Amino acid sequence: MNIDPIAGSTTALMRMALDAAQMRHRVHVTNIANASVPEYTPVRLDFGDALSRARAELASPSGQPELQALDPVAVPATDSRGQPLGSVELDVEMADMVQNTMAYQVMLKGLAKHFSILSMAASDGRR
Amino acid sequence: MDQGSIFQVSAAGMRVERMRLDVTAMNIANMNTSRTRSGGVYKPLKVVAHATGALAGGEFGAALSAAAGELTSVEGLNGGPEAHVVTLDVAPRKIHDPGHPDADAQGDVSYPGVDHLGEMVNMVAALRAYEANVIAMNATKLMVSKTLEIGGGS
Repeated sequence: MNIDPIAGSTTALMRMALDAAQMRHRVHVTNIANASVPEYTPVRLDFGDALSRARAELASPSGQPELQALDPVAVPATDSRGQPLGSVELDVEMADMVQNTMAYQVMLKGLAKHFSILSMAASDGRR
Repeated sequence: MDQGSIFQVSAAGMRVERMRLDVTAMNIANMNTSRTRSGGVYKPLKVVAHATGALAGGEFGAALSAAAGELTSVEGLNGGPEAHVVTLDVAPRKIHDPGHPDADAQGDVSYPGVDHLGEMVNMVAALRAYEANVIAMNATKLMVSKTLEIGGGS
């Protein structure tokens, strides 16, 4: 992923995070829709090492992270003991979905703030 | 990511839950009927749901998402559920009522063996699952409409 010289890495990072939130949302929606299917096992997203990789690249002294596209895999959801869940837990699923929706909105607010800073710079400091 | 297909998943979930509600209503409504129009006792129905492998959208949708690049696709994720109705072969409930026009030679009238308790539980479960799907769809709608506000108002 190329870093835009004007928008900087914030936009690229935000884009990644928004993409991830949206994919997570799709997983929650699918789990909820299939809640009444007996043989359906709920899934979670596994982003592999994408996030730790991005973090390591951001911490590197060059400061120019080479952000990769996210490539998550849907894996069976597990409970706190690591056992795969046999059926969809509707309450947990709803709570996770609401949390994810909130996180998505927070990220959009952050992005809007970033753009408003850019806009202020472009308009010579005048609002 | 294709937002429309997320709505499709919720819609499929709602369709299945509504079908379960319909079938439950049908079973309860016919609980005390002694024969159907085509003769014989009413057989209770049951909805059998299963998850679909691919997302709805048909060939065009598949081609479109392939053309859009697999940047945000999720491997191994199911689509929405699908359901069909099966007839249950349960023994009829026999009530001794010799004066009834549908009574058999022994004076017994056959009523469908509808599991009343099971139907009520099924109805409440379907109702709650339907509500959950509506809330999920509203969350999707909220996310889409907030996304449309990117870059606005700054």
